[in-house]
Amino acid sequence: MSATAPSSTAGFAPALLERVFPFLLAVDAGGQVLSTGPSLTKLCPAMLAGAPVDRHLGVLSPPGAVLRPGALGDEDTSLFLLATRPGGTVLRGQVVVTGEGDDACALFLGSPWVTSAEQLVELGLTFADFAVHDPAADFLMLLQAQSAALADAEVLAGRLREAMDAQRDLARAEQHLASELEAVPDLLVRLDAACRLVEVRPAPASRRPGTVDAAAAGRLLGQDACDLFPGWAASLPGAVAAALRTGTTQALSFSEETDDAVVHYEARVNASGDAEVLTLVRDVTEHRAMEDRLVHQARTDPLTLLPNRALVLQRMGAACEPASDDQHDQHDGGPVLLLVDLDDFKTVNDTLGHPVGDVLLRAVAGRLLGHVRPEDTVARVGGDEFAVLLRSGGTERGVDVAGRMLRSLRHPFAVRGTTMHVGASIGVARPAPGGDADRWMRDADLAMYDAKGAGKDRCSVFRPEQHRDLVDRMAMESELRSAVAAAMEAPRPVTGEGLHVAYQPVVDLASGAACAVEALARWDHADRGPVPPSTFVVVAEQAGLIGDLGRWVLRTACQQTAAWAGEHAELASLVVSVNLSTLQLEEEGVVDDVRGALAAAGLPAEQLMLEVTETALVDLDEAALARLTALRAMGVKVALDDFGTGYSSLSRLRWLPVDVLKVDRSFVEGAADDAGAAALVRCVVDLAQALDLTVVAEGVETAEQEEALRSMSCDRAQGYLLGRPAGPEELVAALLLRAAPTPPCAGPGR
Amino acid sequence: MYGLVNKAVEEMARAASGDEGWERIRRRAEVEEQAFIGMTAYPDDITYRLVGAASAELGISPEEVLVAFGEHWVRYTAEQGWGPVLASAGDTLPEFLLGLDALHARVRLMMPALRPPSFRCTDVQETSLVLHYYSPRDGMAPMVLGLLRGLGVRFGVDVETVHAAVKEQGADHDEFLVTWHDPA
Repeated sequence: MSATAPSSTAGFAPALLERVFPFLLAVDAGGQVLSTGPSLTKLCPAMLAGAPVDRHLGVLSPPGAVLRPGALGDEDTSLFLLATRPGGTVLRGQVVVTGEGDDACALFLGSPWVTSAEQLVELGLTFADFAVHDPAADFLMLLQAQSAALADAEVLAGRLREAMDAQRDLARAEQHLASELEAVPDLLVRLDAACRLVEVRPAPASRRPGTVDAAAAGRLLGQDACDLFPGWAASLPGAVAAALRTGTTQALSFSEETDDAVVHYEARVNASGDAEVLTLVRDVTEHRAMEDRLVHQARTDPLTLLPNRALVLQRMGAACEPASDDQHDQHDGGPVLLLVDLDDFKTVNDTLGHPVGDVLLRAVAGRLLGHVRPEDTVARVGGDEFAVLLRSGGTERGVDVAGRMLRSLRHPFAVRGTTMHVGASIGVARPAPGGDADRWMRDADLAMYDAKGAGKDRCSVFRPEQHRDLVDRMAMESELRSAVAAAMEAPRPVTGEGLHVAYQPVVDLASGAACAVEALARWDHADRGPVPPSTFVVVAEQAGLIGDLGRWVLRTACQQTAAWAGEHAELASLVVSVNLSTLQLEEEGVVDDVRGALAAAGLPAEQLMLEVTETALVDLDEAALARLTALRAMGVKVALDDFGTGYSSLSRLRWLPVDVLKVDRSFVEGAADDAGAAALVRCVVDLAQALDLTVVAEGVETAEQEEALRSMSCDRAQGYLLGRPAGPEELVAALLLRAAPTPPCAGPGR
Repeated sequence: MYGLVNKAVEEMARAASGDEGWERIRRRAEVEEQAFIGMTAYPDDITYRLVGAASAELGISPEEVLVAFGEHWVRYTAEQGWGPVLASAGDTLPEFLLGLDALHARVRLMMPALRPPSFRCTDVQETSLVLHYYSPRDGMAPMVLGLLRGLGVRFGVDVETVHAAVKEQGADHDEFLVTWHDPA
């Protein structure tokens, strides 16, 4: 509510004046407030009528002006700026003076100067507090509109920057893509959903005639891409549809025939947007050719250019398929495999060198190929091993072809001016029902080994028991290995359990005294029972156990003999005979083994005799013979065992490092009742005596044989008649019974 | 209508259905503008199409869209910097409604293309009045319902409105009986 308005306001009713100028201020001649408009009252409630105006308002402008009628001169057209006290709110307006003298009245007509709506709110004012004609509210609205426009501009500027950045990033990405595409050696085509060419970029390094070049690319636009490569006409539409539908890459392979070659292509179709695909087409002809060459190399033996093991196994696998068996077995015997292993080929390489061996292998391959049909396969599957897969004909044809191959191979080969012979052992096998290629190859291998074991230069047809024998042999090998290990750890062998040594006496025929014993390895298997030495010794040799077995027998025999000598004076000069295999003699350490066994037992070397079969002695190389000589030099005796069964020449016999000849039992068997056998034995005895060798007849089982031998002046005999092999506890009594009263025959010769 | 209105529609749509929803509305309305400038005038048809597309996108009637927009408009203008101006236009619901035409008049000074509706109040009582709504555009009456609801929130009163006279049903203009009271 306003203060009292002046009574004289130039003809305007005070209420009207206040409505038009709600911030009206009337000041009397004394400078006191006469009245205020309602909005000024709201703004300065303390400025009551009668109060000095200076207390509530200061004049900012005009400078020096005083808000008093009498003090105002020509400022009625000046812009007055007043400031509230306190607060400092600025009011802007005009001052007019009415009346004269003491009735004079100064009227301020204006409103607060506000520059923001917030300021308005802070002052507690609203637009309604201003006169409708007052532009202050409009000024505020204008300011707000400009601020809003500025805000919009900033937002738009920001979006423009983002769009420009995105544009720049897109351009950069497109540039990178273009660079990368330039490096792609493929034909690029962009197709629409109907397989029409939208864009064509020829392969940069196109070298083949008839391919798309830049000029042709332009002419092809809009055309059906199936016309570009007829080879993909059948598959391209489906690939395009699938790529668009699934968003996944579709792969195509196709070929085109040119005038002089077939060109192979691979294409990748990728969706590019919703309605187009990008297709890369690559010439893979050279790549395919390289792949084929690699595959061929991987399946070809480089020496003979025959298929290799991998390829023949693959073909064997296919032949093992049930369908092929059903089709072939009923009519043509079915497929059959020949495994051809060259006999003693190692000797060729060792003596003539590998280059000659290679030439021989190629020549063998050529001869094998001459006996097969085009649909058969001859492959080289090992160093000197070939596999021949006959597609049909069964075992009968297999044996027939094997025979022809063997006859063919028996003809000499002329290699680099050298004539050489090579034989083969061939295993023949059919695929087992339900079996695979590996099993088939194994069966042929077993048959081949059977052929080798039977004497080589022959073929053998696989029998199921061969596999059983192999399994059994492998089991026996494992058991023997355990038995040898156990024996070597046991302090003394126990008869009747595992490995142990039996001894058979050797008797001097003249005196009847036991002058020596032969140490014989025995193996009593917990499940198999007694295993014949002819079996387990072979297994030991094949399994590489013969060295350990031999050393164990040697040490055991030496220790036992030394023990007998120590316990019984009658046996002080007893000689022990231990068999030595070729494999043992081929070991460099055999001399040290013997020396060590003698030393450990404390047995003089003269009480040890090593027996080597005639067959083995004939095949010994110079190094092995030298070891044998070294052993004799130690004082050990050497006996030539099974004499008469080998092929030693009589002239060589003279120079062999032996002290004793042991006549094989096959000659002794007929010594008493067969004139021919008796004559042979007599010859051997005479021969041995001529060479100052001691003769021992083996296998003496009858008194007649003994007598006959004695009459021939045979030195010693051994056999069941004179004593069976027995354990040391059992044998010692028999030895003592036969012990010579004087030191018997311990040395060589007579 | 000025871009400020379309921007408010956009914001309301984004709040309701996200950025992707707004894009769908924009595409459905076939509006090419990626952004609206607040102080620029656009054809009314753009706003109508946006309201129609929002209706389809949100699964509500165009009238419901307008009611929601009316309420949103009060909040939106305050948040876009016009709050103090609105505050200057009145401290109470009736004061604001009474000064609404004057406010629109001032706005027209800087928005020459503005064709605002007119609001006149009669029968002003302590807690009620009759609001007479005159618009150069048809079908916008539901927006007034939303405006009144939004103003009730702004002034902290519970507002009840009765659309007493409907221009589309033959009345000369739309009349709303508005009553308000402090919240319980």
